[in-house]
Amino acid sequence: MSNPAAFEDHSRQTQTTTTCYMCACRCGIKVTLEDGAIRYIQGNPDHPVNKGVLCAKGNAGIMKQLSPAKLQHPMRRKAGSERGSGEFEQISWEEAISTLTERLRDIRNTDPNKLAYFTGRDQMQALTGFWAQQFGTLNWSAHGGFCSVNMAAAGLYTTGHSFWEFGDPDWEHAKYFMLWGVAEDHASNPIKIGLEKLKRAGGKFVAVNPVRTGYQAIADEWVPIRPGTDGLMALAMVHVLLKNDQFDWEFILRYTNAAQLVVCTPGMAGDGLIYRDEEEEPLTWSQRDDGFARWADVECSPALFGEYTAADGRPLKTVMTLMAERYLADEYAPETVAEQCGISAETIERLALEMAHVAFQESITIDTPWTDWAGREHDCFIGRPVAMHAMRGISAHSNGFQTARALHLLQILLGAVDSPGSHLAKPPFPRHLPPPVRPAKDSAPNTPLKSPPLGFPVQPEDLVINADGSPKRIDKAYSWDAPLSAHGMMHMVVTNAYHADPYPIDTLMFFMANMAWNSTMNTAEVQRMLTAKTEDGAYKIPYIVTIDAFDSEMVHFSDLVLPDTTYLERFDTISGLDRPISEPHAFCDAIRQPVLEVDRDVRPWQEVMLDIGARLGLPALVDEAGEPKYSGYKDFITRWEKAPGIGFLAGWRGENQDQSLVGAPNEQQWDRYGENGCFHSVELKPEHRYYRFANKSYLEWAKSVGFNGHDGPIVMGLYSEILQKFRLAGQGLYEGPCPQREDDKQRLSEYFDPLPIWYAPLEEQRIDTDEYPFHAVNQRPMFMYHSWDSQNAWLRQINHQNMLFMNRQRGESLGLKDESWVWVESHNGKIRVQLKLMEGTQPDTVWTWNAIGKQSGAWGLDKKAPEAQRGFLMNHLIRELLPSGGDGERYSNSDPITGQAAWYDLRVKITAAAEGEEGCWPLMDSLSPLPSAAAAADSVEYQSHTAVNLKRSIVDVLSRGKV
Amino acid sequence: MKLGLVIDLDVCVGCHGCSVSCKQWNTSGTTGPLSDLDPYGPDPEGVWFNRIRSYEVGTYPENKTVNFPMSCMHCEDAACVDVCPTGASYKREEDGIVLIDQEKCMGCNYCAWACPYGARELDRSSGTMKKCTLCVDRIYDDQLPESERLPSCVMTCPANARHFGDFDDPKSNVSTLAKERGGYQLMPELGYAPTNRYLPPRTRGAEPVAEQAVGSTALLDKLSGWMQKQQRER
Amino acid sequence: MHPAKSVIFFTVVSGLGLGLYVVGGIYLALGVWQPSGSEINVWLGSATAALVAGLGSSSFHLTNPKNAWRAWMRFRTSWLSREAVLAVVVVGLAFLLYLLGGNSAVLAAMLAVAALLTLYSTGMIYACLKTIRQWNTPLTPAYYVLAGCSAGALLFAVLFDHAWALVWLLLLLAAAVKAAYYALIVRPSGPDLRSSTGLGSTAAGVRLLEVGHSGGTFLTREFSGQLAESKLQTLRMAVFVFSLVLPAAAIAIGLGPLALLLLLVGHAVERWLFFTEAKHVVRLYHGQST
Repeated sequence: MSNPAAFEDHSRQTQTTTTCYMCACRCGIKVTLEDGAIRYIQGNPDHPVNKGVLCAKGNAGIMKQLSPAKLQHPMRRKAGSERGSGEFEQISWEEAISTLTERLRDIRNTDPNKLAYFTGRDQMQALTGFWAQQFGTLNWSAHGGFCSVNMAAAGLYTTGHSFWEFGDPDWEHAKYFMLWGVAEDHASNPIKIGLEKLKRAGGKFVAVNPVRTGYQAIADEWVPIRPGTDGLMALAMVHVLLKNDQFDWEFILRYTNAAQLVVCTPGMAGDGLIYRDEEEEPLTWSQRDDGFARWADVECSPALFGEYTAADGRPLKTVMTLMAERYLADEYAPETVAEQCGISAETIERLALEMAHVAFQESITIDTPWTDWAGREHDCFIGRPVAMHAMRGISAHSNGFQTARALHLLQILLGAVDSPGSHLAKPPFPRHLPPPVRPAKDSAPNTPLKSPPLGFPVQPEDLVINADGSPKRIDKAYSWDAPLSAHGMMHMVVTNAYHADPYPIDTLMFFMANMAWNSTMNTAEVQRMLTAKTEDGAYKIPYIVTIDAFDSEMVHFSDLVLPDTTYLERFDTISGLDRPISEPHAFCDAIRQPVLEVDRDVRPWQEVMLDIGARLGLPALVDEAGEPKYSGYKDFITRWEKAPGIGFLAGWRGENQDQSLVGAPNEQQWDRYGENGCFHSVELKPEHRYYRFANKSYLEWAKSVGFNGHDGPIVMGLYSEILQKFRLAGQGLYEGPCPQREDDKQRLSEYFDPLPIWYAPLEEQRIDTDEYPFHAVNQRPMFMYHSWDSQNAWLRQINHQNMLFMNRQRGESLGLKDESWVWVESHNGKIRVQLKLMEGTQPDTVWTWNAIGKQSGAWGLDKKAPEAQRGFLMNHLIRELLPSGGDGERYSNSDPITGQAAWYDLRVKITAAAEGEEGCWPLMDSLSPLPSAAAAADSVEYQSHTAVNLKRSIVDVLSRGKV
Repeated sequence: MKLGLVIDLDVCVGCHGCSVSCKQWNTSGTTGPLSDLDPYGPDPEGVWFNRIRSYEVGTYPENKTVNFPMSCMHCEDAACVDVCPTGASYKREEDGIVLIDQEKCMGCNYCAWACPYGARELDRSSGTMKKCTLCVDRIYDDQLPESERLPSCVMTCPANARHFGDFDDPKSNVSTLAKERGGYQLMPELGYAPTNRYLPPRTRGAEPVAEQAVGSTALLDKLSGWMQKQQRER
Repeated sequence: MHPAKSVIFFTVVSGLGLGLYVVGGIYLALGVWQPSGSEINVWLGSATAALVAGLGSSSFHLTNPKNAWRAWMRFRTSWLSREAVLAVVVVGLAFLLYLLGGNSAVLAAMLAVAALLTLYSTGMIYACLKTIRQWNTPLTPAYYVLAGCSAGALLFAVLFDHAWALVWLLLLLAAAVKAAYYALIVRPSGPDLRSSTGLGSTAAGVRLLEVGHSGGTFLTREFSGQLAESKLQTLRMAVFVFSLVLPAAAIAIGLGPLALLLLLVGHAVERWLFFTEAKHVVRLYHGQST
C-alpha cells in the first residue's frame, strides 16, 4: 500500500528552470506547471547559488503570481485630477510609450539631466545604467545608495572585493565565523547553507548584533553591541592584535601597502601621500640597500616599521608605523571603548585572541602550488580560517564606510582575506583598488555620457561638480557632500527635486522603487513633496513615471504608470557585468525565462526601455539609418558587446558556442542557458582559487577574460591615499579642486581619514542623546527580506503587524508593559506603536520589522488590513536631512564619504501612551483603488489539480484497534 | 518502517522556508487545497501543516533564541487516531504515517483536541481536518528523481535543519542523528510516543585564545621590538 | 477551549434524557415504580425526545455533517463513537420497551445500564484527553453521570411525583463531585513551556518570542478561552447556586418544574465553564498557560 494511487499525473506537467526574483539572492528554481497553472516551485539542486534549497519567499511564488496587486495595463493620471488622488485611466501601450518618448525626446534635445531615472531592486543595473548613459543623463542610479554602498565601496577601496555580493565566507574551511550586523542578506540561502556547514564541522559562530533573531539565534556567542559602535569594537580588536603581536607579518608585508612610506608633513601640501619615485611608483625602505627601493622590488627586504627621511628632507613613516601609533593608543584600548560599545573589555579582548588563535594556531593549508605576482613560488595556500561577513547593520550608519574598512583591517591583520577558510572574493572580483571606472562628469544634449553615471573616484578631480563646487547630479552624489557615493544617493532625489536643489528636473522615473513609502525616509513629508505645487499651480516635480509590476504606494503618486511583468513571465539577465551570482570558485551568471504566458496588458520593462531607446535614436540602439539595431531584449542581450567578445552573458559564446567569458556573440545563448538550468558556471582551476589579489596565473587569466584591465597585483589598501587626497582638499592643501564651504572642509578633514577610524554617527553628534536615549533600528523578517511580498497571501499570514521590540528588563525598569502602546519620538516626529518586550535586544536599542506597514488602499489589500491599521513604518521618524548643526539642514542623513543612507543612526525616546491612547498613529489617508482593482477574494483555495485522496478501506476502519 | 523527521534546533534560523514550502506542495497535494480565508483582508487565516515559533531561553544577556518548527509527530500511539469516531484518521501500518481520509472526515475537531502538538488544522472551506502527510505523495512517487523523494520541507530547508528517514532502521540518517545529538521527543510524558525528534542546540566550552605578549605594550617599546624583529629577519 | 453552544446544549439535554432513562429504568427493573401505560409512554417519550434533540444539536458543530453517520464506525477506540453507538442502543432498547408496554424488567435494566454507559461515554470523550488536564480525570465522567442522572431524576420526580429522595441524593452528590473537581483543577499539573519544548532549565526561563502568525489560526480559535479570576469564581458560585441551592429551594416549596429549569441553567453554566476553563496543552506553545 506504499503507492496506492497515482498522486500526480506527470503527463500533464512540464518543468521549466528559471531564476527566482523574490529577493536579491537569485536562486535557481524549477517550476512545475500543470495545465498552465503552477504546481510547484522548488530550488534547482544543480544551481551554484542555492543548491536545491529555497526560502519562504521563493516558496511563495504562486501567491506572488496570484496577487491582486498585479498591475493590469498602462495608466495615466486623469487630466485635471490631482496627483495622489488615484484617478487613473487606462491607456494603450502605444500611447504610453509615445507620450513618454516625446517627453524624453524634448528633454534629451535640451538638457538630458532633466530626466532623473532611479531604479530600486533592479537586478539589471548594467542595462538601466547603459540606457541612462546612452540617454545622456547623469541622474541615474539604483538603490545601492540606501542599501549597501558602504559595504561595497569599503571593500573595493580596501581589499578589491567586499562583503555584500562580491565575496563569501569560505564555508568549507572556516573554523571561526564572525557575523557583523546581518539580519538577512542578499545571499540569503547561501548564508543559511554555510552557517549549518560551519556549525556541523565544529566551527564557532559569533554574531555581533544588537538583536538576537534569525541568524543570531543560532550563534554560539551573541555580542549585543550598541548600534553604530561596531567600528570602535573592531578597532579595539586591532589594538589587541597589535599589542599581542598577533598579526600576519608576512601577509601584510607582501600583499598590502603596509610597508609603503607615507609623507608626514602635517599642514603642508603632499602630507599623507605615499612617497613615490619620479615614475609614481610607491617606495619602501629597503633593509637590503639601507635605502629607498620600489615597493614592487620584492627582493629589497622592505621594512614594515620605521621612520625615515626622504631625500628632500621630508619625514616618512611606514604605513604600519602609522597604524601602530594610532591603534595602540589608549583611545582604542578595549577598556576605553567597552562602555561605548556596551561590550565588556574582557569580551572584546577574548574575541580578538580567539580569532588570532584560530588564524595562527589552527592554520590550514591547501596543497596546491601557486606563484605570486612577483614570481615567488608557494607550495601551498596557507589558510587563516577566520571568516567574517557584514551587511546592513554596518552599512546603514553614517560611519559605515570607515567601519567596514575597520573590519577589513581586522581581516587583513589576520591574513584572512582570500586565503583558505577566510573571506573569499567572487569572480570577477577581486579588482584593482578601486575598479577603473570614473563617474561621468559632463552631459550634453543628444549625446551619450562618456562613461557610466556611476563609478569610483580616486581624486577630487573625479567629482561630478561644477567649477563653483556645486553638485551636477540631482542626488548630489559625487559632490563634496559625499565624494565616493559609488551607488548614487537615491534617497535624496525626491527632496532635492522638490527643492530644485541643485536644479529643477522635469521627469522623475522610478523603476521598482517604492519611494512614496518604505523605501524613503520621512515618508509623510516625501508624499507631500511628490504632490506639492508651485504658486502657479504646476507640480514642483513636473512629471513622475513609475514602472512596477505591483500596486505599490508609489504608483498612486505617478502621472504615468507602466506595468511590468512578474519574474515568471519574462526574460532577464543576471549578468557578470552587473551584480554577478558567482561563487568563490566559479564565475557564474544566469538568465530568467518565461514560465507563464502574460495574461494581462503588461510588458517587460527591459523591452519597453529598449523600444523607447530606439525611438529616441540612442546611438547604441539604432543603426546608421536610425532604425532599431536590435529586435528586442533577447536580441540585444546576445548581440551587444561591451568590448569585443564580451557581452551580458558569458556562457556559450563564439561561433561554436563553446567559449566562456570571451567570444563572439551567439544568438542561441538563451537556448543554451535554458538547457543548462538557466545558469552558466566557469569553475576556477585549483591554483586560481585563493590569494587571487596576488596570484600571478589568476591575475593573468582575469585580465584575459576582461575582469581586470591589467595583471598587476591588487595591493590591499590598509592606508588609503585616495581618502587622504580628499582630506587634503578639505584642508585646502590639495593641488586641485578644494571645497569652499567651511563645513565641507571640516567634514573632509575629519572623516576622510586614510586609516580606518571611528566617529559617532552624525545624527547622534547633533542631537541631545540624553533626550533621545534609544537607538532605533529595523530589520526585515527573513520571509520578506528584499521582497515585495508583504502582501503575499501566504507570507502575510506569518506577519502582518509589526511591534516595537525592547529589552524586557529595560522596559520594565521604565514601567512599560508588554504589548502596551507607546510613543516613539525622534527629532523628526513621533509615532504611536505597540511595544513588545523581549530578552534578545540590547538594552539601549529598540527595533521593529520593517516594511510590514502599508498605506491603506495599496498592494491589493483590504483598506482595513492590519498592515495599514496596526503595522507601522519607522521611516516617519527618520529625516533624509541631518538635524541642523549650524549649517542649516544642508547635509543628507548619510555617510559623509559614500552617501549611504544612515537608516540606523536614528535616536528616539519612548514614553508610555496615555490611558485610552491605542492604535497606531499616524494613520495615513486611504489611497483610492486603481481602475483595474478587483474586489479581493474571500478565500483562496489554490490547487493545480483535484486532490487524489488517500482512501482508508472500510475493513481497516472497522478492524483496527482494540475495543 | 517508522518514517519521521529530525528537526535540528541548533541550526534552524526560523526562515519559514519549510512551512511555506509545505503549504505550496500540499495545497495541490493529497488533501489540498489548503484554504486561505480572507487572504487579503483584515483576518487572513489559512491551513498550515507546519508552523514555526520562536522562543527565548534564559534572561538577557544570557539569553538564547530558539526557532521551533512543529508539524505532525506521526506518533506511534496516536491519540488523534484513537479518538476519531469516523475512521477518517488513521496511522498506516507499513510506514507509520498518520493520515486523514478526506472523504470520511465529518469535521468534529475531536482529533485536534487529542493532539498535543497542534498538528491538525480544520479547513473551514472543505469542512475537513487536515495535517502533515509527510508528503506521502512525494516520498513514494517513483516518477520523481530519487533525490527528490523527500518531504517538501526537508528538501527546501536552507539550513539543513530538517531530516527525513526511517527510525526503525538504526543505521538511518535520522536514527544516527538522534542518537549522536541527543534527539528528544516533545512531551513524551503524555505517552503518545511521537516519532519526530528534536536535536537540542549545541553548547560549546571555552575557546582557546592566542598567547598574550609579555613585556611592555607601550607604543615605543612595541615599535622597537618590531624593528628588531624585521632586522633579524632581513 | 472554545465553548460551542451546540455542544453545551447537546450534553445538557441529552444528559437529561439519559438520566431519565437511567432513573426510570432502574425503578422499573426493581419494581419500585409501577407506571401506567401512558406513564411509560410519557417516560420513554420525554427521555427519547431529549436524547434525540441533544444528538441532533450536536451535529451542528460538525463542519462536514454529511459524514456524521460515520461516527458509529470507530467504537473500538473512540469514546465519541461509543457514545454514538450506545445512544442508538439506548433508543433501540427504549423502543423495544415501548413495544412491550414497559413490561420487561430485564429490558428496563438493560436500558438503564446502556443509558448509564452512554453518559459515561460522554464524560470519557473529554476525560480521555491527556492534552487537557482539566478534563483528564475520573471526576469528569463521574460528574457527567451524576449531572445527567440528577436532572433525569428531577424530571422523573416532576413527571411522576416519585423518587424525590433520589433527587436530593443525586443533587448533593453531583455538587460534591463538582466541588472536588474545582479543587482538583486549581492545582497546576502536566507540561509547562519548558518541558513541552524541551528547552531551558526552569519554566520561567522559556518565553515565547514570535508565534509565527500575526492573526488567529484554527488552533488559537479552537483552544481559546481566558476568564478573569473574579469572573471565574462568580460563575463557579453560580454553578452551585443553580444546580443545588435554588433547585433545592424550589423543590422545598413544591415548585418542581422551576427546580428543573434552574437545574438545567446550572448545568449549562457548568458546561460552559467546563469548556472555557479547559486549557489545551497546545496553548503552551503559544506562550499561554494551561
